[in-house]
Amino acid sequence: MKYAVKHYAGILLLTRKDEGREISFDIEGVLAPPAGKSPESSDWLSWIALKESELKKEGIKVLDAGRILAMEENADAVDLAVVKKALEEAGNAEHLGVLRRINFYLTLESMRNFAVDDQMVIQAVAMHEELAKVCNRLSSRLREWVYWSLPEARMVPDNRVLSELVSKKRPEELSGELIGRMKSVDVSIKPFGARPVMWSSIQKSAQKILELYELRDSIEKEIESLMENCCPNLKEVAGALIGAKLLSHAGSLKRLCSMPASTIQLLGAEKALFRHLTTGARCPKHGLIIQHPLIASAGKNRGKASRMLADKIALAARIDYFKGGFRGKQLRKELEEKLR
Amino acid sequence: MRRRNQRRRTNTKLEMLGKKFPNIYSLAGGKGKRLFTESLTGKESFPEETLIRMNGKVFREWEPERSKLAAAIMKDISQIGIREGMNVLYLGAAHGYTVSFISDIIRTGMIFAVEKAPQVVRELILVSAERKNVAPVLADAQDFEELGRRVPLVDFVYQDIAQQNQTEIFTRSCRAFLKPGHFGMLAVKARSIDVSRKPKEIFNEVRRTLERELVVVDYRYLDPFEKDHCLFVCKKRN
Ligand SMILES: C[S@@+](CC[C@H](N)C(=O)[O-])C[C@H]1O[C@@H](n2cnc3c(N)ncnc32)[C@H](O)[C@@H]1O
Repeated sequence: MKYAVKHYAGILLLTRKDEGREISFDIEGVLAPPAGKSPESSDWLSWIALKESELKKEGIKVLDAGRILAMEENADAVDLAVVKKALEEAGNAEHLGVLRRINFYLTLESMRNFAVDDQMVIQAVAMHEELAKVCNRLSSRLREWVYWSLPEARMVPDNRVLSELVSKKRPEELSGELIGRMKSVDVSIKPFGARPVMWSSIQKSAQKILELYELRDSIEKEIESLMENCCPNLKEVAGALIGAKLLSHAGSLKRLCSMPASTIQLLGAEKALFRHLTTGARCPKHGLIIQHPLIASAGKNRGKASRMLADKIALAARIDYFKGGFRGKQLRKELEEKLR
Repeated sequence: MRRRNQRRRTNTKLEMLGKKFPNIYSLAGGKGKRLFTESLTGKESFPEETLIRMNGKVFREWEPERSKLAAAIMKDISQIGIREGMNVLYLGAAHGYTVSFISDIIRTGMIFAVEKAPQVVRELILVSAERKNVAPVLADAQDFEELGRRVPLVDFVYQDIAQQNQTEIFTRSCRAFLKPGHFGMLAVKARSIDVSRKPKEIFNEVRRTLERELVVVDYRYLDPFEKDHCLFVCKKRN
């Protein structure tokens, strides 16, 4: 089939003869709605109507207005190789421009189909880790600050719980409650013996810190659902967060699935491994995967357990990458049986 | 290392680098050579670029630390073979830093910028959106069928992909897309071919492979701008 590149009504069209009828493609996509306008926007519609009537006067019917080339619906309608040849035969700078347009849209199109899920997981897990660090630091700092007004706060060991209490309660109230929790009080202490210092700032900080904890939680939930979508097998075997961290250390699902199990076993232990190689210190047995409950409970068998887990993780990542369905439950069961 | 922002300098004098380097300018005086091209868009293309305005034109600094082609020019390569109006095939375009300067040089020509990593193509698309002479091609340089459908015959081939079989990809690309008698340029990173051998040895071997099909016109080691890199200028026989 022979194509030609033609100008009609100020629009560059690719045309071909089809059963005696001339069919044209809007190669530059100018008939598409302008950026930021919805296809329903009235001025665009009227502009299209105008262009179409102009084209009709020339006896041209526009196929696929708004699409660069009828790539998907009419996969056989346009053969890019033929188009390129037509453009080359026409051979001036303007037609190279058309080739640029085509490449531009093809590239945009394949970007849309590109799975960014693993990259989203990696971004999210990086944010999660950073937030966890920040929460820890800020809440420890808050604790120090609270001690000056309220030494009783020592009764609450958990930083997050303390932030919550501080954000919600008045100091006298909190002090009474905490003194009440003390088991044996030798000398009676009055609730709130000291004067609260800067309490409103302390309270505001506590509220913000809590919000950060909540943000961390919601990102964690999101990581779980992203993992469910892009790597269900990895998620089942390694757990959402550990799986996500493995992805992040490897750089992508593709890279993770091309790694041997022995490398996966040590992901996250790069520093220790380097020490082993340079100074001959003990070789690390596990990296990130040590956080996995099955390893934590393996006691003396940790080395063996982490080797097995890494094996299964490598397999799961491969199934996910090659979209081989869901076999995570089975993998996990095999693993649990072996480790029993 | 990026130079600190010294944008919008006036009263400085740029001069043409030489006949063999059309549309490339250097800053006269001062310490050391600094390269510039006239911005096709009239503004900067990447953050923290140094701009110079002269006679109503805007020039962008081309940093040899960020572009191997600029590094080769700084190391006095004898010619680069890129002229205004040429059509270029660029393999391994990444974010499009070097691409944007070749775009400034060829002006009315067209550059087909091939890159396979979608993460960086997002930025390449932005470069292309502003520059009518840059066509982004998300594809693998080894996928000759796909490239054959999307890329025409060109006047210049530039390749910078850190891949083990890069020499072979380059000669194949020149065979398929380069017009006879025209130039091609290959940036080689020794470590990506073999980490265990000496870079010099690898470069010699690459040169011999190239010479089987092409004339190696010149080459430069890119240190201190890039460690263990070499850039070859080749000419396709008529
Ligand atoms: C060192 S960077 C190029 C930098 C660029 N030339 C510049 O100076 O601005 C190498 C690029 O080649 C890309 N690449 C590697 N193998 C490739 C292939 N087979 N096809 C296309 N691009 C490839 C990589 O994704 C990477 O972005």
